[in-house]
Formats: sequence, C-alpha cells, structure tokens
Amino acid sequence: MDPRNELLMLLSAYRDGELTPAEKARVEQALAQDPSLALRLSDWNALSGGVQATLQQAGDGLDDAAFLKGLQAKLPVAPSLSFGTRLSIWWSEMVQFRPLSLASGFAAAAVLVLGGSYLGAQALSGGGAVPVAPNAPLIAEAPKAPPPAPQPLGGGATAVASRTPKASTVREVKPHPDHDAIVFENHAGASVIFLRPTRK
Amino acid sequence: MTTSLSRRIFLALLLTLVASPALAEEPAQVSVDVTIVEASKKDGPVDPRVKPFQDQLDDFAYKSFKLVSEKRVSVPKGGKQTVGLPNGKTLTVGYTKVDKDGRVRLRLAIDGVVSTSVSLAKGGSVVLGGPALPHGESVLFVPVTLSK
Repeated sequence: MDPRNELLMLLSAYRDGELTPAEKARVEQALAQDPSLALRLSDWNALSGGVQATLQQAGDGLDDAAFLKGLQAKLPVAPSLSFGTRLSIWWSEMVQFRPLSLASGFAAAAVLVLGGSYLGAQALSGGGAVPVAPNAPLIAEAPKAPPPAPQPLGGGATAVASRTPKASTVREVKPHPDHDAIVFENHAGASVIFLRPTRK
Repeated sequence: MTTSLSRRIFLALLLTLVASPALAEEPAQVSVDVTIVEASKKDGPVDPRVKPFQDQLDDFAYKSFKLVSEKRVSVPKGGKQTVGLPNGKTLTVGYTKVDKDGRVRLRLAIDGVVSTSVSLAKGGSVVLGGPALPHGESVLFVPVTLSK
C-alpha cells in the first residue's frame, strides 16, 4: 500500500481512537511533520461534528406525535370483524397451527359430555345416587346404611325380584283435612308416610 | 388437507353436541311396583312374601302381615295410573319428571286421604302406611318402589 494512503487510513483510525499505542505514536509524529495531514484531520473533525449537529437538530425538531398521527392517517383502516368471522379465523388458526390442542380439547369436552350423561344414567339407575337434602318440610331421607342384598319374593311371587330400599325423598305431603300424616325414615332407610284419621 | 381435518373435527363436535341431549333425555315412562300389605296388631302369621318388606315394617307394633297384592304399573311421563286398594279407595301414581339428581319425581295420592310428592332412585321405596281398613284393627301398608 502507498505509504501516503496507509497514513490516511491510520489517520482516520486515529480520529476514531482505534490505534495501538505504536500506531498512535506514528500518526502523531506524522501530524507534527506534515501540516497537510493536520489540516485533513481538522476538516474531518469539522465535517463529522457538523453532520452530527445537523442530525441532532433535525431530530429535536421532529414532532413524534404529529408524525405518528400522520402515518396512521395514511394507513388503511382495518375493518371491524363480526363474531362469526373471528370464530372462523380462530378455528382456521387452531386447525392449522394447533391441531393437537384442538383435538385434545375436543376429546376432553366429549369425555365431560358423555361422562355426565353416563353419571346421570347411573344416578337414575340408583348406582351412586346421593340424596340431596330437601327443603320441604316433613322430609325423610334415605339411605344412610348400605342397602341389603336384593331378595326374591317367596311363595312363587312373580312381579318383583328386588325390593331393596334405596334413596327416597318425600318432598310434599298434603293429608286430607280429616287425616294426620307423620313422615319419617324407618330403620331400613325407606321413607314412610303414616296416615291416620284425625281424632275429634 | 387442513380443510378436510377441519371439517372432520367440526362434524365430530357437532355429532357430540347433538347426541348428548338424547343421552340425558328423561325416560318416556317408568315402572312402579305397588305392593299392598295388610297388617294387624293381633298375633298371626307373617306372610313369607312380605319378607322383602319386613325391614320396612318392623318399626311398627304390628304382629301379622299378609301380602294382599302386588302390581307393576307403567306410568308415562305426565300421565298416571291407578291401583285399587282393599279399603275401596284408589292409589294414583303419577310420573311428573326426573330431578336434576337423576331421581324420578312421582306424585302419589289416595283419594280422601293424602296427596304427596316423592323422589325415588331406581329401587328406592316410599311406604304409605295406615289407611284404615273397614273391618277394624288392620291397616294397610303400601310400599311404592321405582322399578330397577
């Protein structure tokens, strides 16, 4: 490389503070011996400072709020989406990017729905039904003890194979005016409504 | 492919939603067993056919029991069935609805004696007791059981 060009490169690096001590000493020696180099360095510093001052002045004079407002005014206005459109977009994104999450969520919902139906059917069949405490007066709740095993009717009975007393709740009793009603739960866990004529 | 998957998942979800109400639907009718037992405080035999109800009757101071009849009636929702009692009165069994806890709501009434609303799980019983018989000391016990 031409020694002059090499010195100019070093001078540029010197201005930016990037030289080793040895290179720095070399540049300073050259500056002392060559006034043109010193003049070049002076020009560079002046030019750099002027540019920086100009940019700073331009930045200070910039109204950010007005600029952003103007920019937004030039942007196209996003149309408001209907619920159906948003749902459609959500559905498409879920299917495209998160199909496993969607499938697992769907499976969980199916388990809840089918499981709920199954439990409802179980409750109807007496399997696991727990009586809810009634609000009405004259209430008997059952059962509190495990129900006995089903027993067939003796003597060739035909109609009913099991009489296991289970959950029962008396919700309302309206005896006729000439009758009294007593409601209780017997020791077998069945609700009993005992009626007798009113004593006059 | 994405569209196809989307359609399949959507159809499966739709089928589930359509099918679930059907699974939770209330039965159109229920079977109710009505048993009529005559009890007396006089010493006497205990009908072996009453044995399944013995537990329910032991709390009373009656000594002899006789199974008069037993009948299973199918009651449609919103409808009712009647069963004649030995004292000349009639027991009416109405099927009102299915409660949230899955038990069946029945309305039981004996004309001129009582009207009552009960909730029964399958196999659950309520005993209507005490309607006096014309001939003195015997009384009736009427266990009403929601058939399993």
